[in-house]
Amino acid sequence: MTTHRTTATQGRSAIVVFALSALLPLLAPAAVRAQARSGTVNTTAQVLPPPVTGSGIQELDFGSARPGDAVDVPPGAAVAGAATSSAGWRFTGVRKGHVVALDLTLPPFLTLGADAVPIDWDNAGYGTICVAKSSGACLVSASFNPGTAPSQSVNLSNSMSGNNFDLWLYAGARITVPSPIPRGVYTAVVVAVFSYVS
Amino acid sequence: MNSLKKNIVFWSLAATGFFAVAHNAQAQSATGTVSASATVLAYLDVTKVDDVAFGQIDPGSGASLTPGGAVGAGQSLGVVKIDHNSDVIVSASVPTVLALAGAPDLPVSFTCGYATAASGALDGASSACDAMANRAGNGDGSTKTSYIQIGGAILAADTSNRMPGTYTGSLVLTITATY
Repeated sequence: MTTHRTTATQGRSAIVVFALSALLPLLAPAAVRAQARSGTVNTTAQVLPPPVTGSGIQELDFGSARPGDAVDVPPGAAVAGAATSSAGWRFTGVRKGHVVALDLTLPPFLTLGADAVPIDWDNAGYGTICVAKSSGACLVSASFNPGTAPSQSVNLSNSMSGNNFDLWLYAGARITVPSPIPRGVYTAVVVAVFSYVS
Repeated sequence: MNSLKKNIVFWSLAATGFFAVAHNAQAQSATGTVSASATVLAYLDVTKVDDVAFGQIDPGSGASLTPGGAVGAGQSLGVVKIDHNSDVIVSASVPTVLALAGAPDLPVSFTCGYATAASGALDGASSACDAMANRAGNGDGSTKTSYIQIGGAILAADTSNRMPGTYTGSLVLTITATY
């Protein structure tokens, strides 16, 4: 009886052993293949650059003028209390190691209804670009003629110290108010587009 | 098998991440818009066309100049030309006497009137030069040319026993555009 029981137990054990033996050949090859591939994986993490944001920071304001008057507004940060100011933009989150394109859309006229005041954009040095860290000194600067070269490119080399720069863009202009012309506020819109080209 | 699947998924993410970064750096852009403006003021130009001249006056005689009327020999109405594209207000500093150095002042009075020409009929009635009504513009921003004719009078009683000579004075008109 005892022998029989023992034989019966040994028989179940044998079944179990056989069952495991049957499974092992199936699992082992798979585990070996997975380990081989995991050895070739490179772990990388690239931090995305912050988004570039931009907005106008000051209007192109020719102030008040009488018919026949000429008004000259050079580029630059608006002076507190001044009657006039050039157009100004600030783009933030600018990355080095890229060429940046700046494209200005310049209206030819200020208008009020059917009446218009021509805007003279064709002035050397009346466009300026400054790339800096926050409000520090310009690390890259340029001046240009908005009328003849409204599209500019700026190369921000990798050798620049730091990253995530601010770019200031100013555009000035001149007007001569026709005479006669109805009084009133004459307006237009000036657009600057920032983009990476490489 | 599970490990193998994870590895495949990881490679796919890595490749996707690479292209996302490249795309982001090349196409990222921003646009800023600013307004441009100029405030055009009213057009106003004032020109003196002629001085007031009473001419030669005999002692005991008077002289008068009527805006909008004819003048005698040696006389002229004062005329101011105003180009304006809005309503204008006229104020005046009017002398009551003409002066000659070393002589008593000669009393004088002035009258003014608007006209559409330097001479000829007035566009309305005359009035004291310091009490003129506002002059309306065309109302559409276009330039209008108006004239102020200036006349006056010297009474005969004021020329008797008068030291001979040329008596002078200045009448100052101030024109202000209003809108």
